[in-house]
Order: sequence, then C-alpha cells, then structure tokens
Amino acid sequence: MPRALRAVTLAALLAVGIGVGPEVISAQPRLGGTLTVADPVGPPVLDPHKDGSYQSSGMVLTMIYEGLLSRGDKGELQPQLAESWKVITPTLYEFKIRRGVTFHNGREMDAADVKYSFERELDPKTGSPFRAVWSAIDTIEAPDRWTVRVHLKQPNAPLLNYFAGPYGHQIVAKEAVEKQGDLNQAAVGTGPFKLVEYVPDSHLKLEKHKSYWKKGQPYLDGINVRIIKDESARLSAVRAGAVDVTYVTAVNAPAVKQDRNLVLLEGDNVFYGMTLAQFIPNDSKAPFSDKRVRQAMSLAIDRKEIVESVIFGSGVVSGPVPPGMGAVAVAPAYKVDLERARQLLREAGHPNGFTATVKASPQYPLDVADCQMIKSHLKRIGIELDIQLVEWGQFLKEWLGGNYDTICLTSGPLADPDAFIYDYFHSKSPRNRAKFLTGELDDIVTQARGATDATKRRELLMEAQKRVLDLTPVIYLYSANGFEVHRTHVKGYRPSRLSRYGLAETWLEK
Amino acid sequence: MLRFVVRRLIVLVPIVLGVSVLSFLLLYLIPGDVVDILMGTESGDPARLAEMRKLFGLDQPVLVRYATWLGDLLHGDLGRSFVTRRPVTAEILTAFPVTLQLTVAALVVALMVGVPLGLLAAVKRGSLGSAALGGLVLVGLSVPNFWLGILLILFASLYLHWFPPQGLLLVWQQPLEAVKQLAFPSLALGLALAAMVMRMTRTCVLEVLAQDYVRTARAKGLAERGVIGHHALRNALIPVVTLVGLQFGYLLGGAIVIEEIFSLPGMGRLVLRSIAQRDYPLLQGILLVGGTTIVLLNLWVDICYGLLDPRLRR
Repeated sequence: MPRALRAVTLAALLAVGIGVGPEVISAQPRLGGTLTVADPVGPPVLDPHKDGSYQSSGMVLTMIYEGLLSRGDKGELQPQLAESWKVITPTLYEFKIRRGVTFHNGREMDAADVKYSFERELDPKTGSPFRAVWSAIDTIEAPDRWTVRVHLKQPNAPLLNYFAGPYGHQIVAKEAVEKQGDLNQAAVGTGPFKLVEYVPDSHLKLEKHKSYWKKGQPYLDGINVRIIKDESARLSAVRAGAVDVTYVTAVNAPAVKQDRNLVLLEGDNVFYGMTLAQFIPNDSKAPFSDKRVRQAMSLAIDRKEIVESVIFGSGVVSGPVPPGMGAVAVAPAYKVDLERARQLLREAGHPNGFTATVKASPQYPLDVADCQMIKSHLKRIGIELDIQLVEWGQFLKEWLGGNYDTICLTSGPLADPDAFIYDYFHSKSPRNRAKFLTGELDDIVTQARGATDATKRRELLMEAQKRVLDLTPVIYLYSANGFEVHRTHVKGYRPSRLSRYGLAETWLEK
Repeated sequence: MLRFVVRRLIVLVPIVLGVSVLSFLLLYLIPGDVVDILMGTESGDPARLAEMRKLFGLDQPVLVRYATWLGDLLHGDLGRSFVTRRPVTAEILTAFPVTLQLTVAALVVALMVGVPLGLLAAVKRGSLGSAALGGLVLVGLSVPNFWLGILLILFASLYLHWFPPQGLLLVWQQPLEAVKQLAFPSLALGLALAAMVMRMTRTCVLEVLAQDYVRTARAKGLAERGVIGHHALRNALIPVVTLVGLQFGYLLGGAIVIEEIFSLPGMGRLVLRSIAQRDYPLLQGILLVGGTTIVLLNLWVDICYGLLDPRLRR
C-alpha cells in the first residue's frame, strides 16, 4: 500500500473510531480473553508462607491468594476476606470473616482457615520467613465460624497493615497443605485466578476462578505469565504484541512513550514505586561509628544528580520512609555543602579523608550505578571508595554478617513505615541493617510501634525520622518510580504499590 | 572393539565420582546458602537462620551431607529441590530435552550453513566471492552469540512485529511451534560453529582436490560435479565430523547464555537458577548429569575414532 493511501486509510479509520467513540470505548468491561504478562522471574517458591521475596508474593501469587485485608488506591486498608475488622483493645483485634468465599477446590473458606494459616506461619517447622512479623501474635481464636480474634502480646501499631500484605498474609486451605506436605506443588487459594500449570523458568498458566466471591469478576478467562528475564527482550515482546503487559526500567521508558500501541504507567503509585535506595555505612565500625563522618558523607552526596543520572529523573529524593507511604514520610531538605563536610571530617580526625569499600550486587544494576555516583561525590572530600561487586547470595551473607564498610542497596516495598524505622534502628532488632547499635533511637521507635492512636503515631514516626536524619545511620538517596507497560487494548489494569498484578478488573477490548 | 568400550566405561565411574566430589566441595565454598536467599533482605536474626538451616539439613557437616547424598544417589534418588520441593530428576527431565533440541538445531544450522559455503569457498578459490566468505567467517567467529541473539529479537519485533513463541515446546510434540521458537536461538548459537565448519570444509576440500585420485578422476573425464560431490566432499567431511563432535560440548555451554536471552526453559536456566538460589540438591544433580553427558560424548567420539581408525583400538 502506498504511503499516502495508507495515511488516508488510517485517517478514515481514526475518524470512524472517533465517530463511534462512546459505543466502542465503553466503560462496560468485555468478558473473556486471555492476557499475557511478561515477568523477569517466576515465583521462586509457590507456597505463600515460605518465600520472602516480592518475586512471589508481590507478583503472581496475589492473583491466587488473598489476605484478610487489602489496600485501596491511597494505601488505605480495605476489607478483603474479612468483611470488617475492629480494634477492640490495643492487644485484641476482631475480624468478621466474609461468607460465600470459596477456595479453588470448591470448599467454603471460614474462620478455621484463617486460624490455621497464621498458626502455620508461627510454627517453626513451616520455616516461614515471616514468623518474625507474626510473632507479635499471642493467640488466635475462632469463637464461631465467621469470627476470628487475634490476641497480641503487646500493642503493635503496624501489625494491622501486615494483614494486607504483601508478604505472608495469605489464607490457605488446610487440606491442600496436608495432602501435598506444602503448597509448592499445588496452589489452593481464594483469589480471582487459579493455577493450572507452572513450568519454572518458562511460564505459568492461570484460569478464571468461576466462583470468585466478587460477583462478575474476574473479567478475563485466563492469564499467561511468560518469564522473560532480559529487559530488551521483554520490551520487544510487548512491542510485537506477543505480550500484553510488562514492566521496564527508566532507561526504556522513552522508547515505550514513542510507541502508539503501548501505554506507559509511571509514578510512585505503580508497583515498585515504594522502594528506597540507600547508601548504608557500617555504623558499628570505625570511621563510620562517628556521627560526624556519616554527616559529612551525607553533605557531600548530590542526590539530585543521582536521581538525574541513575534513574533519569523519574523519582524523588527521599528520607527514611519512601514518600509513597503517604503522610508519615518526612521530606528532607538535603543540601550539598562540601566545606562543611570537610570541616566535619577534620573534626572527626580525618583531615585527609580515608579509603573504604562499597559493596553492591550486580543483580540490581541501579544499586551499582548509585555506587559509582557516590564514589565520585565522596572523592571531593577525600574519601576514596573502592567498589566491590558481589553476587547476591554472597552479598546477603556479608551484609547480614556485618562484613562490610558500606553498601548500596534498595529495599521495599514494605507493608508499613515501621519496617523502615523500628526494624532498621532498634538496637535489638535482628533487621538492624546498618548495625546501628548505640540504642539512641530505641525509645522513640518503640513508642512509635506501640502507639495505636493514629495522630500520636504519626507524630512519633515524624519525630523518629527527624532524629534518624540527624544521626544519619543510613544515607538515604531516592525512591524511584515504577514503570508498567501495557498494550492499548488492555483496559482496567490496576497495578498497586505493593503488587504488579491488579488483574481482577482487567479486560481486553478486542 | 568391545574390550576398548568396556575399558572406557570402567574409567567412567571414577570420573563421574570425581565430578560429584568436586561439585559438592565447590558448592560448599560458595558463600551464602539457600536460607540467606529465601529470607532475603528482611532478616538478620541468627537464631531464626539457624532454625531454618536445620530444616534444610544444612547444620550437618559437609561430609555427612555428601555421604547421605551419595547413598540416595545409589538408590537412584537425586533428592528434592530445596526451593521448589520438586524431585531433582523431574526438574532435569523437564529441562534436558529443551537444551538437547536447541543444541541439535544449532548443529543443523552449523552444518547447513557451513558445509555448502565451505565447499563454495574451496571451489571458487581466489575469487572475490571466496574472499567475501572468508570475511564472513571472521565475523561469524567474532560476534558474541548473546549479542547476536538480542539483535535478532530486536530486529524481529521492530521490523517483522513478531516474537518467538514462548514456553515448553518440544519438536516431537508441537513441531511447528517448536521450530518457530528455535529458529533464532539456534541461529545465534550455531553461527560461530557454522563459521568453524565452513573454514574446516574449505581447507579439507582444497587438500583433497590436490590429491592424485582427484586428478585421475578428472583425467578419466568425470564431470566436475561428480569430482567435487563424489570424491572431494565425501573425503573432506571426515575431519568436519570430528570437529562437530568435539564442539558439541561447547554448544551445551553456549546454550546457557542463549537460553537466558530467549527464555527457553532448559538446563542453562536451571543451572543459573540453582546457583542463584543456592539450591544444592538441584545443582548437584545438574552437575552430575552434565558431567556424565560430556564424558559420554567424549566416549562416543573416541568410539567413532576407533571405528574410523583401527590403529586406535588397541
């Protein structure tokens, strides 16, 4: 077809399209069809109670399993398998369980399943990575078929948020676990889709859960998940139409914007938009045990430049809690002040700076890029950083074992700000990742965890963040935007901050 | 001949045992274990980690672990994957055919491209075309296969609006889909070997063409086609077959990278996944199967030599 003719035809088609617009692009979801999603990795573990990575729980498992609560667009708690919930006392929560919810095996879910699921996670034999979170629970009782009461050992303000995920909050069917030994061979949940087939490294097949409790949903007949590790291959697949939904990083966002067949969703409300890139010194080790050294480093690092060059401006400079977590996040006013930084180093006894190593894992290229930027920034005040790239498994070992000078790391998405505050900085917390063991923050983070009044809690969290920013146990960099890509015929795709898979209300236009 | 094969098979046992010991020790030396990986960044509690290690049997000394594993192996049990909890044998049996068909397809590409072009280069020696083919060989040998793979994907999606089908497709189950899936990966994997085959074919054909019996064939008035096809090529192909046999192991190695780029669920991806997750039983099984395959391939090549050259059968 000659180019001119093609243009005319296209224009005509567009005109017709516009003419019948309201009918064609109706808000009425179309039923049926199979959606193809491309993910870089498949779930390492299918059992929702056994995997600590977002690759399972933040991704496809959210379509198979559900928790008692979920999150709304603004991050607010919403009922899910619990119809309602009540905080009776600061140590007693009551959940009213939804009726008419069935597992994929056809059995109705009730309070006994909820009790079983949490008790399973608390059992050391299960080997759940989330036992630490749920260990705040003293006992769980099911006084009748539709009520669950959770007794806490002591007041724990963040715990309610954990019931909405993204990790270890899923309700499972007891008989499925007993039949198979665990849920790695078969997946039986209450979610909108059920698992048909999983070939690791290749694909997953999900089909509609016909008796899903939200009437009329899901709209799709099924989902195919293809595991395509290479980002350029993923982008190629969505461009060629072999895949309907995938995600990219900032590097490829411009290419997506240019393609008229693709829609780019970008922002901090898109999955992965609630993460936090950090430069973490080993606070229990000289010279980083000196507050002035850490402050000097923070003053020498130009975060705006890092945001511009590493993530091409698609993110925001962040404090101890990522801005995606809403009103509790303090927005710090960082400034670069090399003179003051040098002076602090002099006062700390390092007039000529020092040399140290920084570790990062090549599995996360953005962390490596952060290292390179920081190296160049710290050089200006005489600190020589030697970048060491370490394979992820080894990285975890060395980091958790305290065998490092400094590291670059991105964490999240996490369920509650508490995970960024108490877990990071209480001197007795096993997840104190910067080895900040002086106990200077113990009081305030403990108060914040125990404050069940929302206003009071917010105040305490804000105060804790201010103290953290002053003590600088961790040097915060930025919170990057997430980028989701889908083809134009995909409608109602709603990824959230905690999961990429918002597919219950997704439908295909053709 | 039989004695030769039996002798080689007996030597196989200590070699495979050696492979297993070595791989077990290597795994022991990699820092980090499956518990670190499963717990991810959200844990650091030593008591919890120790508890989890006990669940996986990682609290046992390495010698005890090896002995247990070897004992199970003698009963034909490779154990279960730490992470997926599927039997290791099942994981390998799913992945192995994928890698096998990829390498065989790459081999076919190498022969179908290499032999005719090599022959052409030899027959048209000294021509511009031959020089161009020489240049092509150099390019074929120099281009890294992963880069070629990525370029092929980009080219197909941008210009042909096509993306190879994904998933577990086997030639003997879904021939058409499998061929579509394998077209690009086998090209990317086989091209370097094609260049080698081409060069080898060219050299050997030239060598044979200079032989007396070729001159005799020409002298008795045989058509050039008959001379090349019947006398020259057939004899020239023997070293090519050897080369291909020896390079099969190289193709298996290259398959790791190619499978990663084209998302083929074969042994290569399995090996990378098991290393990344420190899935010891799975990795042990893969190394054992992989090592045995290579040893058996070498045995096969040796047997072929024995068949071709009776002097080696002693």
